[in-house]
Amino acid sequence: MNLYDWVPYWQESVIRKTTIFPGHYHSGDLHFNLNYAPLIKITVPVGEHLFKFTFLMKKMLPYSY
Amino acid sequence: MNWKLIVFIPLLFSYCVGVYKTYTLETPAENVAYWNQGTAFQLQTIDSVTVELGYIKRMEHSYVFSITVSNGSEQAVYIDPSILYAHLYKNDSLLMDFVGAINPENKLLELDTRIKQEKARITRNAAFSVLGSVAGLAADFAIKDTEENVDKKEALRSANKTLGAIHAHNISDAEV
Repeated sequence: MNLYDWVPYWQESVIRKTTIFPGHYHSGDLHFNLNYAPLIKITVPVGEHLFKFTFLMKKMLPYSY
Repeated sequence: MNWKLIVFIPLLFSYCVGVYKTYTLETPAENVAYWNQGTAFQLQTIDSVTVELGYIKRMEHSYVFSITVSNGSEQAVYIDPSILYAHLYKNDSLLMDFVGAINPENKLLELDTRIKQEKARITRNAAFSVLGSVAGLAADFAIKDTEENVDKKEALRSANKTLGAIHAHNISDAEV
């Protein structure tokens, strides 16, 4: 993607500040700049609640698959 | 040098340089709620609000996730990516780092600035190119002008010589 293609992507495909009304849903991409850590815990505050998700970061070497 | 070494050393270097490691994120098997197009999604529901999160890919310098928030409650809920965050752990208890999600509004401002800089650079280069062309044309004209002047001066000089000769001839005729 060139520089000009990134603008519509960040405008439309990435999740932005949104109010979700009852009976509706909203989806999109979410970006994190992460350094290496074996265990990543992502917290998503929605309304008054905190939703927590766990990921494992793995090193991948070429030819290791 | 042995010809085998000449072949072997570049091959060895090309192999070493090409080896680099990259990182990927995996969802612990016990947390996978469902799979969609090769992506493992985790799902949590609190008070009829459901959040689904799956790691998609690494793009440029960031890790990209897909998130869906479904509101089954009676009240509107609000999501703001600028207040999402990640804790990086060495193991279950040892915290290494704390990172906020990339704020799309800041990213759009950054892209806007970069596009303006790029446009300014293109305009500047075009202006320099036009200036260069104009200077080149001016130089060409100057050279042509000089060549024409030289020709004219040469013609004038030869005409003067002829006139001088005629004049001298007339004087000598008159003296006779």
